[in-house]
Amino acid sequence: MLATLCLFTTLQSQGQITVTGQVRSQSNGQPLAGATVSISGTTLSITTAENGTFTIRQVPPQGTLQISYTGYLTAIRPFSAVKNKLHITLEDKDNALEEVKINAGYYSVKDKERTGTIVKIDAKTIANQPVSNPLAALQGRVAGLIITQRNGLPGSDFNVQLRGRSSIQSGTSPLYLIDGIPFPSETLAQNSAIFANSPLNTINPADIESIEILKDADATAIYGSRGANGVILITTKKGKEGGIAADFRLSGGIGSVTKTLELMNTQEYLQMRREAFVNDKVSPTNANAPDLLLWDNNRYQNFPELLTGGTSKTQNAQLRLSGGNNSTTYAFSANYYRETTVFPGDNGLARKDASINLNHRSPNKKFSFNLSGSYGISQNNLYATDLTGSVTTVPNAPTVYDGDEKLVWVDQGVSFANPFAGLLRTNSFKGSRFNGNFVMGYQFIKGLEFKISTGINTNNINQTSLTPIAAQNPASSPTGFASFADNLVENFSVEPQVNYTLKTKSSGEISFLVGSTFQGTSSRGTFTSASGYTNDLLIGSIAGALTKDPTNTVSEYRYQAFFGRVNYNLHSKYLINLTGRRDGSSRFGPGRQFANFGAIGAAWVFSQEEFIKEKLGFLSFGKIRGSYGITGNDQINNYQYLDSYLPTTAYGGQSGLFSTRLFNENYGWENNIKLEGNLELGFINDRLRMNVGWFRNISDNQLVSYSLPGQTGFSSVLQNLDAKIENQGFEFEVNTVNFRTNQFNWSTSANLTIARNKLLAFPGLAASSYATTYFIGLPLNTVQGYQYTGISPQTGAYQFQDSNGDGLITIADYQKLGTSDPSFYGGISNTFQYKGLSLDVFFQFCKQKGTDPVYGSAALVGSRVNVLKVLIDRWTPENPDAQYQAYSQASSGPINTSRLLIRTSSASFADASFIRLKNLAISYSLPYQLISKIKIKSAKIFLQGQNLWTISPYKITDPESQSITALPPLRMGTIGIQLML
Amino acid sequence: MKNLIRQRILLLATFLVTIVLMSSCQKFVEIPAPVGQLSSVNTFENDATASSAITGIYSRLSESPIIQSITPLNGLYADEIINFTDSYQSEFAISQLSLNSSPAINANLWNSGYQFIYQANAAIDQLFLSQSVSPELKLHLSAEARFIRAYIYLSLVNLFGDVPLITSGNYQINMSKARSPHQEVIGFIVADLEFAITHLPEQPAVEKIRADRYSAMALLARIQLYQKNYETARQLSNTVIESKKYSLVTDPSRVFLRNSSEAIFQLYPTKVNQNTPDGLTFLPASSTEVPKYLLTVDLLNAFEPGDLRKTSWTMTRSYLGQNLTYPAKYKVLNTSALSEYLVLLRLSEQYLIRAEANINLGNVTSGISDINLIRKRARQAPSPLVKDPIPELSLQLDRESALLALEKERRIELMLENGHRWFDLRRTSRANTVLQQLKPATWKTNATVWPIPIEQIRLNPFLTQNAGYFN
Repeated sequence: MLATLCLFTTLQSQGQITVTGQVRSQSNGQPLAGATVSISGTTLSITTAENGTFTIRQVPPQGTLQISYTGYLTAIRPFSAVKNKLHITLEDKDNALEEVKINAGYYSVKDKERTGTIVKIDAKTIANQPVSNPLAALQGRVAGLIITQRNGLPGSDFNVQLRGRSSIQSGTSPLYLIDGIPFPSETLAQNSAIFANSPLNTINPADIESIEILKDADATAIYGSRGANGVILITTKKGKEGGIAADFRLSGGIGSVTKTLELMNTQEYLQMRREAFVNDKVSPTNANAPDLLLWDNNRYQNFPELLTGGTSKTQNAQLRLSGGNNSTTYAFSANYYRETTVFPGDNGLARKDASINLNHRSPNKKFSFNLSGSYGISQNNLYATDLTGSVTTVPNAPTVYDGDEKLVWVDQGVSFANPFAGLLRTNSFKGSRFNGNFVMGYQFIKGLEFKISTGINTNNINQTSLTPIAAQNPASSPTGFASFADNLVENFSVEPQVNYTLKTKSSGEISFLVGSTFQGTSSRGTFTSASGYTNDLLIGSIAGALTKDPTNTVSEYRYQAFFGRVNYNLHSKYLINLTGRRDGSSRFGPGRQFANFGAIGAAWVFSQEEFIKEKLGFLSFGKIRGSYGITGNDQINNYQYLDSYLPTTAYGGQSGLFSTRLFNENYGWENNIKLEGNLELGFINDRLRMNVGWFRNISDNQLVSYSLPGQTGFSSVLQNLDAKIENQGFEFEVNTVNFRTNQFNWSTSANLTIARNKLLAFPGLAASSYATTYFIGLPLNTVQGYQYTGISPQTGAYQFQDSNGDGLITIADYQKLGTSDPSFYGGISNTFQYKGLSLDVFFQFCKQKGTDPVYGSAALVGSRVNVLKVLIDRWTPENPDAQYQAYSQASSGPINTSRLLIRTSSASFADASFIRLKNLAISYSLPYQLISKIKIKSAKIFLQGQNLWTISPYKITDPESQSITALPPLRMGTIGIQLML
Repeated sequence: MKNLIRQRILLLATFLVTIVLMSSCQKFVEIPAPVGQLSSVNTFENDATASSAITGIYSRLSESPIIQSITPLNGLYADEIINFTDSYQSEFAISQLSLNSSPAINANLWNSGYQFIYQANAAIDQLFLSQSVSPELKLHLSAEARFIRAYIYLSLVNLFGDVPLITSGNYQINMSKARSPHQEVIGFIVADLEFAITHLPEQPAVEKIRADRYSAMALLARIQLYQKNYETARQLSNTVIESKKYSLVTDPSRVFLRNSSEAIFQLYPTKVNQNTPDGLTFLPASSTEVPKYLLTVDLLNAFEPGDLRKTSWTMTRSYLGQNLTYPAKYKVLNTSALSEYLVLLRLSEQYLIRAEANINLGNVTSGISDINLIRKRARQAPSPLVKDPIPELSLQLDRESALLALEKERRIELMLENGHRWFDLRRTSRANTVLQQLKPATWKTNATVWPIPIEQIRLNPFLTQNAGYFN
């Protein structure tokens, strides 16, 4: 006994070594304090210190270490007497397929066991992008999801479409939910020519934990009538267990337009004008050509540069505190964001918001609740119109300001529309948003849980649009005018639900979910237009106006549903998921309010089969899944089933009423039948994962404002059409880990969508008002126009094919030119990591056709507006092979006629494909040795860029916004620092 | 323990039942009627709101595109004005309407016109169905609706020739109606106006901004003249003149004022900061601004020396050495103080109707006397420069000369007033003679009707295009 003891001691003392090291997070390089490090096969265990380091003394000379930490995958590392200093990085659980939980709204599901098509975008991807709107962070990253930014203004609106256009006329935007509560995505602005008030812009991207995009019937049918266009779930960040952690992030950046329009200079412009007069055989007079005869021919003002050539500045500061223990966690955050425009001056967007989250689970784990709330205020000071529209001001126009910094309106007796007056016509949006959400759960017995989720959100927009006297030509002795709009939307939602899960060893796991939804939206708004201000100091006040015209709107929307889900899971190998919903909506007339929706989804994880495991060892994961179901669309306005007489302006002191719409009380839900098949594969321990999906959505019972001929007194009536629209396509996703070592990691993920849209059926199309817009067998977005055949050698005008040979060019000569839908699109992202240095490179690509900015533009080349420089290549007898037709200033004649025709012709339907370096993010985590001295957990410096570089045959302007009158999306660069205390 | 579980399951079961019960309850999705809107049934439930529904039509008509645009568009298309700065209407100026003008015709004339026809039809339908509106008011209100319907239809027929005859509010029937022969439409509106004459009150309730019996008569007189039913036209205009309710204003510059004694029917201004659309259209926006439209040289030359109407109804502005003369029957550009109302019917036209009817009926002398009455009012005091300003016409003129004198008088007296000149050229078949001379390069003989907007032909395949136009 003594001997044995002695021997043991000897052995121990002989081989005893000390193992030291540091544990860090792989995703952000931060040291992990409190991680458990244990020696396999022993009871030796220690937790890491504040700075993530550990020292274990008196351990055997060889063995393995097991390192675990909540939220991370457990790592196992060998050590030996030689290798006793270890740098260990732990991989986030989120990054591994195995453990990833996907939020499906009413329930969550392990990624490997899901039957539906759901894409998850995590916080890291969002944080890497210097954007203010969470939608911008999704661009190009999700197969099947097309997001286009409407302009480059702060707070810009986005167009979002999932898996193609499924409706002729009803809304095609997805349903957005923030922590389960529906969030209105439609703008609340009542009167605006400027599209920069997306409500989603009030959500701070840094507060988002993940965004899940629900695509197929299996995932969306539980949202019933609102699921037809897909569902976007936004989950906010919750507190994490552990000591209190503070996260401070500060960044600043600059932005400029991706492409400034290149217009003619004064010399080129005047040459164009003179030639136009010569061509028209008209002599310029003081009246029709003051630019040639009266204004300084040597003056040159580069308006694109003056108006849109500025630099937008962004500033962002975020503070986040979180912590808690295993029963209660909490998180608080505060955020400040500011972004200015590229226009002169420092107008722009300022947003401040704060959020709180509290999560508790009783010690016996039966009772739980989660409370979250966020409040944000924003102010977006912009202009009544996008100043980009004024860049075509004549380049030798009068100098915009006189010596006293006052706007110039007249030069040599001729009035001119000063584009800088636009800077005085302000349009500001003041918004506030509150989101509150309370979820309470109670587990009655094991497997049986009751949950009630309640929430409210309110959105308030206050819009003030002012046109002071100073912004108008004083010659007309103007008075100021203004409009004031105030809109409030309140939403509430109560959703009780019960979950029951029965687990058996032999026959699998079955779970049931039943629940109910009560939801209401009430909106009210006032709009006052006020005019006759005689002093610019009074213009912000309604009382100061001479005349005011106030109106208000009130509307109610109620929505109610009963939903359920049955899921059967046999050994994580065979899975069946049934979902259903009965929906009722107040948007439909009596007797038409309720409808049923549902779906079935199934999956077979074949890699779990023994024979696969034996024969195909390289296959680490394999799943085939499919789903079929029906969803609906109720995105129409309230009260459309009622006819309506509205008050008019009083007539001779008497009040009037006027009928404002035709009505049809019999319209009902629009349906969308979705079919999906999917193959998911993982190779070499899931280092290569791929996913191929096919979908076909057919929507019918189209709810449209059916266009009526004017002789009916109205332009449309709401009704269901028997038209069937098909969206079919393939979606590919590949994720690879190309390199994985302790020091260096490289991973790639890519997605590609090839989809097409087709009108399958439309009974009575030929006799309907859609006969010349839609065609059976072609996409809804079919572009038609004249076939351009070149420039006439006689007149120098564009010529077109007279297809029907009647000697006239009329719309009967229209030909189908193609579709504006992209033929394929996607993105490729590469992430490199070397020690504390991380680099993300994301390319977005899209193959599409769009409106050519030269042929498709409105101007008569030769009239008194500046035009694109490329138009120098115009037809003259000496230049018969020119790209563009001859100059003319006459508003009648062949040149003007063909100008109007070319806009809807094959020439103006150009390739607008692009590959864009959408996002580049570099970050560097400072080494621990450096920062430990100042007692902080981690410090990171980052550099991010958005829309940095674009390759496209579409040269003149941005291929995404495709407009020369709207500000293109900006190229942004940001530098920042993140500190964790 | 078992008991506890049972209790909990019971609780849960109760809860589940509640959920199911609540879900099948439709009450939750029933929302109250919208605020600030009335259904058609509610509107025609009582006298007050039924009256408002008719008042509403006048109110919207007063600010409607059709009322606003007929004067400048017809003026351009005929020989009254040219567009000086507004180039988009240049096709009207050369009387050659192509596809480019279709959207303007569609929005300003066709859609706007039919909007009012619907409103009138719906009101007539609902008044007929209503059980609670008093019978007397029912007749009065439908008579007003019929007057408006007739006014709009007359404009549409004059512009387009044959047009769809829509007589009810039912869109399912109306949406595929083809064009009816214009004679049928005229017959329909004659019936409407005869109904109106019977049921409208002798006196309008307020000012002259709602149709009364004489407004209906005056409008019917115009239609009968257009239809060459001279005897009826003479009788109707005679009744209006002899009623002595209206008198010619001595000073031509005061003809278009609010409650002018000459006005038979006016529209109350309902647009903010505006008196009349014509004021806004024709008057330059500021003292340095150039006018949008100028009188044609031809029209300027048509004024005889010493015609007060030239100084009263036009204005001239000097711009870069040019003298620009623009229409100015209405003199208020934009102000909220109301001094001018747009005149749709006035006594002077009735004199000219009676004159034209009489000449055609062979009573040339009575016709000339009526014309002389109008000329007298326009006569300037003789001066050394103009010794005999617009002299009286000889009562001995032959019929042809008398008709030409009448055409000339109408041209001046009714210039730029609700499209009279173009409609006169059309109905007298003088358009070809006159416009061929003025616009030799572009005038085409088939251009006496305007094209049906292509947008409408696309929406209603049963509509056909007028000859010579795009399809």
